[in-house]
This record gives sequence, structure tokens and C-alpha cells, in this order.
Amino acid sequence: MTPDESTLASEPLDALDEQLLLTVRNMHARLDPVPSGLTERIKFELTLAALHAEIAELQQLSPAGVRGDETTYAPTQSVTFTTSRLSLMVTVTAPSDGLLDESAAQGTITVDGWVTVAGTVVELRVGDLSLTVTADEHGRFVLEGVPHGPGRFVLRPPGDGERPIITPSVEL
Amino acid sequence: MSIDSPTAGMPSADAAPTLTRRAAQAFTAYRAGERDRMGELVDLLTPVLWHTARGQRLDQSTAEDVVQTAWIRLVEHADAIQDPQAVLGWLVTTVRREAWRVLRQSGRAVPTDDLPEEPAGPPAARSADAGTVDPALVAVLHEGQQQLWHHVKALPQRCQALLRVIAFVDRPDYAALSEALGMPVGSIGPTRGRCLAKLRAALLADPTWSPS
Repeated sequence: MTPDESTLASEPLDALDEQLLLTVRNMHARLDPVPSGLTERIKFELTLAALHAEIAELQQLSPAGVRGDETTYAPTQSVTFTTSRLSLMVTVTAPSDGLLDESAAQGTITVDGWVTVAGTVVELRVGDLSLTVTADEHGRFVLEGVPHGPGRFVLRPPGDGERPIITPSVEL
Repeated sequence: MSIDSPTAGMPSADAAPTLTRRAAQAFTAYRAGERDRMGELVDLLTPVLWHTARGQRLDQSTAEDVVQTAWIRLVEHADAIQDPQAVLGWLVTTVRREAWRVLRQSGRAVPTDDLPEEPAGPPAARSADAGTVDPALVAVLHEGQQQLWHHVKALPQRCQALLRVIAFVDRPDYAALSEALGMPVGSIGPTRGRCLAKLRAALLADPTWSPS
């Protein structure tokens, strides 16, 4: 280290240092950003760990055998998930389907669902949002005003002590 | 049906609390039973942890695993952390240890904190070394960032790693963070420290550099 550097090193931080560090930050954020989806994957893993949840299997996509590839299921119309304890079927409809007005462009969707265990508490997590509804005595439920995006269901069948069930993420 | 946003009810009157303070608030609330607040903590701190892992020269997918592991450890050990203000330091330390463990397991060179400082060559010589420069990546930088990049690359590895992490936290947190990174006391904060002094000296000596 040169004497100049020694002097510089022992001085208090000033505004130029703050500016340099901000530039360093912007540079790294640009060169090597946090991978997209990493925080969501972490949150999912933490949810699993915290809930000791069982993961449901994605069973079927859309009627008429229309399948996406293994990783992308967009846009979802109808999906079935199963575990040993229950099955969940959900159908997604856009209220303004076919209407290319402004509300359709930023529109929300409606999720109609049916779960084989009546009274199951169904939670849908889309981004930071969490919507919760209880399935009726026939196992039916409706969630309205759901934003588009990747979402997953957390199912809590009635009765204490049951592990919750969590589904893989699907594009809504 | 109910709609819950995890950010609802956050105090907003608190004038620009540091990252450490905001993390401490979310972590305290999480431990008090507001389980949603963990998501907020993940959003707040993952960038710092990402750059900690990448600063240890982990590849992308290994860095992702290491960061994820640190978060799972936090949930497992949440009650063992006495001071909520220490949660960022705890995570950074955990990422470093995990990175070190993974690197050692894979038999790769482990970056140590006590490497002798190599004399930093002139930036021009470093940038001529094609092995350290990915032109495709550097091309996305603004002109000023490109200059900075060459000067940062000329710093000793441990200084690069330190500044990379420090840049993502707030000034009052520098000293605690550099300690969590295994750097000697005084590496940065409250004084400039040697790493930032080196970078500053290099930039000030570069006639083509302008700070704006």
C-alpha cells in the first residue's frame, strides 16, 4: 500500500465514497443480477420447511389432452392435482374473455375449484398475495379477482394434525 | 375470502432505517408469529447474500443452492439468534461457510481471507487478459461502469469480494458486515479502509474517470 493509500484508508468515509459504492452496486446488479425467480423459490422452500407440507402432484392439464411441456403450463385453463389424501381440480376463467377492452388487458381472473374433501381451507398464493376460501359441503369453492402470474395452492383439510398440502406452481 | 399483503401494517414513519434495522424488524415480527414477514426478509436480504456467494467465486447454480441453504438454516435456527439486528451478519456468515464447504467438497481452490495481496497491475494490463474479461457481459455496462469494472478487477480478490457485498448495504452496517465477511476490523467503516482507498486512488489517478 502506498503512503497515499494509507492516508486515504484512515480518513472517514465521505460522499464520494458513497457514490463510488453506489456505482459498484449498480455495476454488479447489472453484471450479475439475482436470478429471476430465486426469491420465490426460496420462499417456497421455506414454506415447505415451515409447514412440513406434502407436495401434490400435477395430474392433468386442460381438457382435450392439451399439454404444455414439463415446466411451463401457460396459460392454465383446467388443472388437476392429486395426493393420497385428496384431489383438487381448478378451472380458470377470465371474466372479460374475448373482450379486448382495457379492463381485460389488466384484468384479473376467476378460479373455480373442486376438492374431494369438503370443508378444506384453500389458500391461493400469487406473488405476495394470499387469497383464502373454505370449500363448501360439496367441496366447491370460487376465488375471484385473482391476478395473473405463477401461483400455488396450499390446502388444509379439516381436522387438526393433518399436514397441509401444497401444489406445484402453475401459471394463472 | 380475504386478501392479505405481507407488507400491510409496516411502519412507514421510521425515516429510512438501514437494511439491518429493517431486517431486524421483519425478523422480530416473524419470530413473534407473523410468519408472512419471512417473505419480506427474503426479498430484503437475498441480493446481499447472492453477491456474497458470487463474490466467493461460486458458479450460478451453486450460489443459488448456497443462498437457499442459508435461508433454510435461518428458519431452523431462528430461535438461536439472540439479537435480531444480527440476522444479516448471521446469514452472510452462513453463506460464506456454506460456500467454503461446497468449494472444499468439490476440490476447488478455496479463496482464503489471508491471501497475500498481489500487487495490482495497471488496469490496462488486466483488461488485456482475455481470461478475466467477458466482453459480452461488459458490453451491457455503461461507459462509466466499464471503467469502474476494470479498476475493480485490478483489486485483490478479497477487496473485490468485500466491496461487492458492502455496496449492497447501508453505511452504518459496513463495519459489522465486513466482520461477518471475515475481514479485519477497520476494513471499511467508519474509515474508508484499504480496499476502498485502493479503488479510490486508482480512479482518481485515471484521467479518463469522472465520478458522475
